[in-house]
Amino acid sequence: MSVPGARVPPVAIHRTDAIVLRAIDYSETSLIVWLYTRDHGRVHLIAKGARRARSPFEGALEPLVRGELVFYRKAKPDGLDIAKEFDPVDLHLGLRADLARLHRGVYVGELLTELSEPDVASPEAFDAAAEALGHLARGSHDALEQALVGCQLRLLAASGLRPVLDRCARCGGPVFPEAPAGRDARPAQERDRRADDAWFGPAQGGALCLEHGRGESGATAVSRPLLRRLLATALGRRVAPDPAADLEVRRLLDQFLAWHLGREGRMVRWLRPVTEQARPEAGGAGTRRRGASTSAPRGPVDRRPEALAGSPSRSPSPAAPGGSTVRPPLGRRAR
Amino acid sequence: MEWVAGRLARDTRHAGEGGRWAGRARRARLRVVRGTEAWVYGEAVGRLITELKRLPGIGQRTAERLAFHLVQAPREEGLALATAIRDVKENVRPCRRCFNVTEQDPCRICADPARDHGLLCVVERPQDVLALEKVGGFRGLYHVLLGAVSLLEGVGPDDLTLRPLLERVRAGGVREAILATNPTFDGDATALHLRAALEPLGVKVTRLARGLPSGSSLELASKANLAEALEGRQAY
Repeated sequence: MSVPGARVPPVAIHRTDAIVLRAIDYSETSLIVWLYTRDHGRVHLIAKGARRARSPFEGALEPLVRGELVFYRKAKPDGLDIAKEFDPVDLHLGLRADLARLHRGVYVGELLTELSEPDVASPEAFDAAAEALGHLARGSHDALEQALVGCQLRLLAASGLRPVLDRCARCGGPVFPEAPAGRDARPAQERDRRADDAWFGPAQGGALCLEHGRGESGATAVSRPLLRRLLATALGRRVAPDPAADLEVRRLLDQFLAWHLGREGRMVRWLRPVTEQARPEAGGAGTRRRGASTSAPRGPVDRRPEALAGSPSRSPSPAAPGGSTVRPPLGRRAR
Repeated sequence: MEWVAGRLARDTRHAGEGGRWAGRARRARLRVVRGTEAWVYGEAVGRLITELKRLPGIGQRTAERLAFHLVQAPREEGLALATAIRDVKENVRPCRRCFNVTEQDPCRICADPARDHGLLCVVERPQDVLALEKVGGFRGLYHVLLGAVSLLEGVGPDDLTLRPLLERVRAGGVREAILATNPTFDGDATALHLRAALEPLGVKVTRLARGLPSGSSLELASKANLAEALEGRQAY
């Protein structure tokens, strides 16, 4: 917000950490780039001469590269601001060498784009994405899904959409039915195997107790260990990677994001064939959907090369109630 | 014209120095200027300028310069250009095997028995074939994808010529596929999808080397080039 009487410098030069989200060819030698910066949120800039062989950007203005950006704001708000320098700090080359890493990395970039508004800064969102991209580029293959889930939860929290997980989002009571002392003598592991211990409702804002979740359209039945895992990840506790369980958790969060964004993420369908290939019994032991579905029809795994590399099956995207698209801004406005 | 001129007069009246109507008046003035081309030079020259402006990288000034060059050039030169454009549009088509642009189907490269038909170089665009042919060292065949995978823009492998490529490999005879997509994010994404599709078919998949340019020095190399060169170092 401008202060009346305050002198506004004609050109403001900024230096900040940034992650490239998109790079679009513009004219013969220039690029229009979208970057998510730590101090200014999402910015859209023109990088003049970036496509030349000897450009000051050294060919580093490519999606998901993290670097130090110098840009200036134009005095008049018409047209794009100008990128002056971009010094790469982390090229995330690992993302470009493995399909599973690439798809998850691009999904992080998509979430960062979809959950942010131009010029609204959120250092928490930047740090979450930067850490996740580092893990996805260099981390163990088993921990990829976990890194993605952690990033999803942190980005949701930064945009004010953290799902309620420690109590029923509807009544505020405990999520799990507590067995009276001495009545349920089964071991804890056996009790955990019940698939309908609790529910997860994107429209209701998170976990639901047995009473309020049953019969809710779009709610998914979740097992106790799955919800515990989700809660522990949301609280930032160290959880041992379990690709199958992390995949189920990620699917829950995909549904949650789809409801809030008004459509399924573009990358969700790209993640599907790889994951379906890894676990043909998709749908999982931990979840069971009721009502409207955001996931693709699950059937036998197609192992033809075209199916492994080509476009995965498209599923209808769920629409937000009233057909409106909700785009919550991340953090605070920078300028 | 009268309508535009009237509009200009009205807008100009409202336009002060940098006032809220200044941009509108400027645009209206430009409309008048552009509309006068045909009136001043004749319908044919006006139409030529309009058509030239549709070409990539050609603006109003360049289009005018090219149009006047053609007006003043000898009749044969201008007609040769027109004939060349007509021939291209009437005779050039994609090769049904490799999707490179050609006048004969299959193209000269695909039909050449002297070339190595077991070596297939996969490129993004027809221009890449020309670039590799200029080098002169490659004696295999090509496959043009006619684009690159761009996940966030909604371009997937199915939007390229992936299926014909797989059919070509399945038909037999191909022992190595060289992925010569551009060393960009989209080029790498394309190569990863191609590798996932080609490897199950038992064909050897290789990728063009990347890193430091010849004749340069480490001191002057970009961070991206150095990082890729380190990542892709080879036994020596």
